[in-house]
Amino acid sequence: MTFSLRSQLSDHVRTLRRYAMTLVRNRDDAEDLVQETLVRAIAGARTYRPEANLRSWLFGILHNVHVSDRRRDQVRTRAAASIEPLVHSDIAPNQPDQVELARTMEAFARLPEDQRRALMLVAVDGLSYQEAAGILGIPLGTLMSRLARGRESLRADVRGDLRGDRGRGDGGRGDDGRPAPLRVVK
Amino acid sequence: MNGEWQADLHAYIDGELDAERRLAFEAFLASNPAAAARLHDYLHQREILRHGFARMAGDPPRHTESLTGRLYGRLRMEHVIRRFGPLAAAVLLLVGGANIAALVHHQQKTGAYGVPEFAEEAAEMHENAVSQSLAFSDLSPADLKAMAEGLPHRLGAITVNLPALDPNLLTLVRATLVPLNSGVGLQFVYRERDGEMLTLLVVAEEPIDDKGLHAVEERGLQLVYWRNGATAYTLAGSRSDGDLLVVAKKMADSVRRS
Repeated sequence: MTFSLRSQLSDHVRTLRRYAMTLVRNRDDAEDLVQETLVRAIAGARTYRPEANLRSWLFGILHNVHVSDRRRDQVRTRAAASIEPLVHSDIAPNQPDQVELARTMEAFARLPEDQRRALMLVAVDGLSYQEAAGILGIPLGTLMSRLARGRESLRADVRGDLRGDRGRGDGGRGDDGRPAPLRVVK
Repeated sequence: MNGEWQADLHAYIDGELDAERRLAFEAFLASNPAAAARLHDYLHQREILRHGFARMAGDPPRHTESLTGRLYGRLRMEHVIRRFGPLAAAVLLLVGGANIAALVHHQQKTGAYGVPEFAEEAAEMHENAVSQSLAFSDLSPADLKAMAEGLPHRLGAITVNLPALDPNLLTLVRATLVPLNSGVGLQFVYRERDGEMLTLLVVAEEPIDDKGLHAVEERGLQLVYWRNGATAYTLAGSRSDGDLLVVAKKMADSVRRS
């Protein structure tokens, strides 16, 4: 533990907040998840060993909170209904680059959760494969596979959207308003 | 695009290739425009995702910042206690007489199912002690011996009697000040002859008329607690430890005789 603990902690909380959005896909619920994680971390600070990885410790708590959250199903339902408002309220698609940004974020939200988690940890937050696999509790090969499939699905989805050849005409949503299932991209 | 170099492509983007493979892959990219175009797409995708999530996350709300600050404070405190706690406990036990009444936790609350909060906290302390390496680098064997022999001692305005036990039965492996929900207690970790670990947590209490020895289970652990004047003691150990109650009784008798 060094004097940079405070800045490390701020960086980790920033990462947690982004990652939480891939779990619940709703900013308010993500913030609740992070805050509950911090509360539990404060309560369990005695269990943290200085030689351990602080980020992994925090992610472990966040996962436990998320998994054990009794409101999980309720949150998921709310999240599914709020993906599009979230994206559009934050990213106004009124310019070509804004359109691509909005399309990418929408396509990201449509990815399966395991691919979103892998992409968020490695591609967005820059974690090593080793650390990301540890946080997700999966083998390295599984992580790499999820990354590859996630990247390629996202690329193909955004490309299809931008070309206007998606052929869905519903903004990628199913009849129930939830995100459409992931298309198989070969 | 075959699977092998596609895997290398992702590893290249994510900085997971060693120098030799990175150079080899860059040579490959130079002669393969399709792979280079795919690399460009993925790098562009990464930048867009980073930009998008940075915008969506925004600045943390005040409550999140406040919690982050509190966590920082707790981790710093734990760090200091780990470094200096054993030494502080040794000094307190050996010197005695220092006025640390303000430091000693006055337990008033009672936990769930009638188990006092100090007993619940003893269970947590024991879990932590067992899960951690018990390297005792801060104290020399001479310090440990002095601590074990220096019992009981006064803790400021409150007399805290600590049990004197046969060192052939129990070995003291750690003595430290520990933070409780509010205040500080003294934690002693012992090892029995059969290797079982025990935790004795000593806290200051409002005196109540209770001379009993109470055995309860909490967090899957066996706890025995008792009071002696203004001090409360909890001995925590595994549920399968058949000696715990006997050891607790010896400790309680020793404390009450002293």
